Amino acid sequence: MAHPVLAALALVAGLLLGHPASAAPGTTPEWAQLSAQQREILQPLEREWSGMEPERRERWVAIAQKYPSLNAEQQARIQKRMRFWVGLTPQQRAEARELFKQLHQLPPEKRREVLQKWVEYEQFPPELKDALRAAREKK
Amino acid sequence: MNENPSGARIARYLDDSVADLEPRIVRRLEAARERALDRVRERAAATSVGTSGGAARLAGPSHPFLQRLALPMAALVIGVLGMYLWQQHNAAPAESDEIELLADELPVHAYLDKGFQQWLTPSLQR
Repeated sequence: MAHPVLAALALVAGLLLGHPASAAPGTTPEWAQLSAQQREILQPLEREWSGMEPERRERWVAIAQKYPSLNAEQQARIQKRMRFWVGLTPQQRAEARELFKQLHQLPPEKRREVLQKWVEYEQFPPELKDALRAAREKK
Repeated sequence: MNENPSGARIARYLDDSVADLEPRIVRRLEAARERALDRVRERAAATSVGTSGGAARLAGPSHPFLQRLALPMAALVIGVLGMYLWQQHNAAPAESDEIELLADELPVHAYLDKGFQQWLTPSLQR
């Protein structure tokens, strides 16, 4: 085996170079470098891809990897929501994640209640929605 | 074999000359020879330890620079490994959250709608 110090240096170099967070901008896959399957799944993002930060590209690649294991309904939802999600600011994405996490920890019956409340909310006239938003903003 | 006749002649001359030396000088020469042989034996022992294994080689006196380097290097490796594992640990949940959020029954814009958040508040507080 090589000298232990050299082996340690090789390990450090390997970790630094191999870790995605340390990859220089632009070293993550370009659209053309994605596999045909990844391109098909991530099709709604084709236009945004070139302007996307490496970290976000890697996240989408990871999502594309798990995508085939989802059912057809979930896949359709993802397809529909991809561009909307990409268009959000980092703060909005963080806010959505936070509430998602909070609601996901609820017991199943509470979770059903949340979904029911959304269905009701969607039926509200615009004035009522605006009044609720205004009340929320005042808090 | 007689490869170096002049060397043999010098050796014979020296051997003959030893007989003429004073006993005090002979004793000093013997002591000097012993000291020189001791040094050769020590060096041979150090070399055999140095080539017998990685850890022994680091601890051996022939690598003082590497010996000084070993501890900081070990600290660096542990540090980098720690950072790597910490980043992996923190990156994974965000990623799995994202795919679950996008595939969820509730649309993404619902999570951002302040009016819906207000409408939801009483249910969440109960």
